[in-house]
Amino acid sequence: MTTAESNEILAKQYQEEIERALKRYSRALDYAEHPPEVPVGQSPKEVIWTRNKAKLYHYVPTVEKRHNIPILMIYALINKPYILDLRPGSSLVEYLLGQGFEIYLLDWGTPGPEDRNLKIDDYVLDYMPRAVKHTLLHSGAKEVSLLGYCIGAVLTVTFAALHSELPLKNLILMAAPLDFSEQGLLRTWLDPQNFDVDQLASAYGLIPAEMVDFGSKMLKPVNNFVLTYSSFFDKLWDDRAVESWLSMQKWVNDGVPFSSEAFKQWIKDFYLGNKLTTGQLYLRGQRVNLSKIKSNLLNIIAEKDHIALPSQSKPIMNLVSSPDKEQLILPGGHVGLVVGRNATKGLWPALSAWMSKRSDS
Amino acid sequence: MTSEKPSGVPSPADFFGWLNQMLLLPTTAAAAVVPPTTSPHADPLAMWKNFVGKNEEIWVNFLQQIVATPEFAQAFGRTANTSASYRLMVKQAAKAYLEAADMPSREDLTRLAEQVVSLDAKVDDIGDALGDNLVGITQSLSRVTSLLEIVLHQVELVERKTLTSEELAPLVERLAALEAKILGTSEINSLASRVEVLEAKTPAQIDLRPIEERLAALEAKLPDREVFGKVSTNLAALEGLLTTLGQRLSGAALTLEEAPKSALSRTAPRAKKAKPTTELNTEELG
Repeated sequence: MTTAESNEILAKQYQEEIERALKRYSRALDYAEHPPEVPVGQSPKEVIWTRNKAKLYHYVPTVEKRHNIPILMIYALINKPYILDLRPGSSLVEYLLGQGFEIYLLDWGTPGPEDRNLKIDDYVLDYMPRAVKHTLLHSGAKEVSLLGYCIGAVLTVTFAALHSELPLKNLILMAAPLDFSEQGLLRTWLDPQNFDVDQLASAYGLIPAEMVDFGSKMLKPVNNFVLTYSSFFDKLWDDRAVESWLSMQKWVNDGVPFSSEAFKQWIKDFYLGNKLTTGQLYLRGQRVNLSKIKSNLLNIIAEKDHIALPSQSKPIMNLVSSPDKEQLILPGGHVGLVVGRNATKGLWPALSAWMSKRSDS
Repeated sequence: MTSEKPSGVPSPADFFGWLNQMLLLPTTAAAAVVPPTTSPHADPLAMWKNFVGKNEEIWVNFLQQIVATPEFAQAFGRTANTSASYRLMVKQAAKAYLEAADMPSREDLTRLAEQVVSLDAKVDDIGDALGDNLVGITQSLSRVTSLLEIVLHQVELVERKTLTSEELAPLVERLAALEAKILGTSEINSLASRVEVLEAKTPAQIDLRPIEERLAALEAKLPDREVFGKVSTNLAALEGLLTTLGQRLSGAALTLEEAPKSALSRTAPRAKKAKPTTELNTEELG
């Protein structure tokens, strides 16, 4: 390469960088002045049942149904469930609908101060059985598959153990924090010597979403408080990347408060007491015995999950009685498991393939 | 702890070690941010991004070490507890103020909302119970509908009258089977053969000659009307004579009772002579 050619390339690169930089500044100022509204959760859906703030959605099929057994998604008690249907092209719901599955979603809604006494018992013994019943009635199916994500997976496992009489064909657990025998960061922070959960619950009634969000973000402070924004500035010139980033940030900062009674149970019985996997958890006097679970089980773990550590998810494989059980460890983190490039290539096709073989009655 | 301590990173308690690291950061970062000759970076944001990127590992490890320390956990807990205490205090003060001002507190409104939620749950329970009943009723109605459809189909078949050959075929088969069953029974066969024998015995074939001969003989023996009239007259005359004779004999008997026994012996033979005439007439009429 001659010196003239080299200079020409350098000049071109320099020009591109300047153009991108200008676009970045322009966009940054725009967003600062008019924070954009990013549409999320756009797959058409209908509400088929409600109880208090909870809603059971049925997603409108986009193709002819290919599988008889519907999927009921159980979301966590924190954040909103539209992460499963973030935006077109980046939606697990949309993908599964395209594969011919019938999809239902149980959205717990946003609790108000009047829901401060809601317990995990209520979610598992009052809400979930009805949601399953209405899913079966609406779909006309004789069996159902349950897909739980994060705390939703914990609720799903607990529910399945207490309702062995229900026709639960498949259980899919995604990023499920189940076994707290290992001392993680949160376990250290929540040590009763330092942290008084009863006082917090009593003072707030509902644990503010920001407080829960802050705790989660502090698990990876640099990533959540610095690198996220640096990557955003880097992508400011790219419209699609910006849209993706904004929709994700909207979800991250769109948390819901935690009912104080459920929060106390979550901290005391799960994080500190590790009662679920040791068979010591009781809901309204009923012992949660995981060995009663006989449904087909798919346990999906994100390799770099810092919220539901892989070591917290794995033990379930040895605790259930399911003859058909499989564990899938995929690249990515807690959220990257369900949205993003890793999800489209990893989770989505793998989940669809596993379900396809087990969704015909 | 979730991350291992990388080599060259000071321990969490080593304050001066961390301070030294932080003081050195700009120096190390500056070296990384200097634009390479082949890729100019005119954008200050890109330079900042590059700065962060190059030092990411150091920053991440630094903070991860910090948040994993017991001191951080203690500080985290104390912050939360203090925040909770402060909130409780404000809450209680606000409640006292609202009560004093005779106004509903947040607690009052929450209780009201709880009752609404409770009502909502009850409505849902009732809806569920009704739904269960409706399912049962629907299933029953479905069964009745199915039965009605079957009946309706049969009625339609009858109404149509003209049955297709396909619809007739099973009926024809059933009739043929019945017919075969009737004709095949031994009792019917026996009765049929007896009837046939009876039918074969026509009057022409029965032998009536002996009867006819006997009737002719009887007819021949019967007297004609004139002879019969004479006989009848003779019999009447004879009857008159016999009556007279009877009277005379009665008279004679009375005399004889008074007369000697020798006179009686002479009249007795005359009475015996009338008997053969009577016997003859009887035989001729028989």
